[in-house]
Amino acid sequence: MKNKDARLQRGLFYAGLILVWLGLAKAKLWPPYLFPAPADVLVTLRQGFSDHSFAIGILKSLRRIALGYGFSAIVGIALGLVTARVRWMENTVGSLVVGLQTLPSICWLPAAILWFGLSEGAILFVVVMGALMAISIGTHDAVKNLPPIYIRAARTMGVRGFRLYREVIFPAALPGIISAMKQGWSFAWRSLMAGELLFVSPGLGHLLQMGRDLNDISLVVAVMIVIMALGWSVDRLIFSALEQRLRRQRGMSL
Amino acid sequence: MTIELQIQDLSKTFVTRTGGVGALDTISLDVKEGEFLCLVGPSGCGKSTLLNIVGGLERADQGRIILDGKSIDGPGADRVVIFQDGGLFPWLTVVQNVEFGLKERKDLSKQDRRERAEYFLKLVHLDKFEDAYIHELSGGMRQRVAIARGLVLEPRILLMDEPFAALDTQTRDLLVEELRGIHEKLQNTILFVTHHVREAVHLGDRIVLFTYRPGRIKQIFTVDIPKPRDPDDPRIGKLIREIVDSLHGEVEKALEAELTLEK
Repeated sequence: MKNKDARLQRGLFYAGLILVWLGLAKAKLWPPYLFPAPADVLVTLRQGFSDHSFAIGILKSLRRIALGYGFSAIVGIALGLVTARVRWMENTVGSLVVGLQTLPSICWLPAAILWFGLSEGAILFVVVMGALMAISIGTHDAVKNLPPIYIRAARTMGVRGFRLYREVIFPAALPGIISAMKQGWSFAWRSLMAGELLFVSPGLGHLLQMGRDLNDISLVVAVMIVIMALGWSVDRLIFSALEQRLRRQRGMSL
Repeated sequence: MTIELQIQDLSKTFVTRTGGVGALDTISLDVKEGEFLCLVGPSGCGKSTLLNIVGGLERADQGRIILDGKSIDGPGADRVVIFQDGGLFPWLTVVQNVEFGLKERKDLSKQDRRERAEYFLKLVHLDKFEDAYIHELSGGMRQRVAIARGLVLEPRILLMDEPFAALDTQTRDLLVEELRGIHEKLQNTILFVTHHVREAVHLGDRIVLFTYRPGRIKQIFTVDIPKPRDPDDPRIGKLIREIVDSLHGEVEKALEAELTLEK
């Protein structure tokens, strides 16, 4: 019932948005080579998918994000767990992570190109610098905010060391860790797109740049829509679904 | 009865829940094997702190805790603490919660663990709920799970820190009676912190009364009335009055301290 309502609301909202877009395009406030009509973008989308150029771009980008984000998630969670529990690590590595987080990850690209050349390595480096810090800080905060009772209960049952991390601290902090991963995902996705824009290699960002070079505004808008749709799908279908499942299991759903 | 646990000249200053500074002052106490010992006193006197020190969750400034002749250091499954709010793990089912501590015992197979967990869940009448998650249980049921989770480890001594304080009166009476039954059956040693005198008199073999700041042992009452005890027994009423009178002065001191602190 509720689900159906939400879908209806969403459908109407987007239909309205497209109508406004259509109206603006019809009004010819801007020349069509600057402001494309929905139909033009639709044609470009269809063409892009039928000649596989979008598919290749998507696959390239997804491969990079899988590698860069996967690495960031594993290292970021481990780092967050350690900095939250080991005081001297918090004072040293923890403070460095917070510092690095304030630097937009694309600022690493010049250094990355000097170090790795115009290679996959340089782009991956930028993605990792974008996501790793956010995941680490989010995990750290999730562990810091745990009710101490869980750890006390585990200790009184004689649980210590690695098992305390794996079976108590990690699952107890999991809702917060998933949120951190969700945030890390959006950072990784943005970093990747920024990196690909400035980089001569296939990928969604590169398609966007190509649209500019060809003066093809509907290609630019079409690729932007693809980027948004992909980012949205991962957020909804993976992270929000996981969050909801955890909330239900722990009786925290509204 | 042999002496199982010795608390020797134990002192500790600590920060209370309300932010004041409390102190335990040279506490010495012997707990006998199989004894149900209740610790009673005003809030802030340090009875919970004492329990946590015995459980190894906090350190004493001075003094020793000796269990079966050996000085103890740090927490261990031989002295399990049961907390007021359970401290159950919401990401595990009821039976997984009860099994949790048993995983430390490498000599037990998966099946042994499950069987033991189920035995103790049956003991607290929750065998039908073993696959439920914690949030699906009532407050009383949660404390039952917490008790089963402690008992399953077969600790030398069970340390209960106001385990029924957050429950409504009816549930509380029910659980007090169940705990008495469990103690009668298992004959285990229990150290039980409460500020509820009636509860202490119903359960305790001995009742240790603490003074307020510094926390010292004021008086020890031995309850010679056979269990189960009839609440209408005149000896029970007399004992409750005696303890409440003795406690009253201390509670007053605690209240006074709290009020002056607020000013």
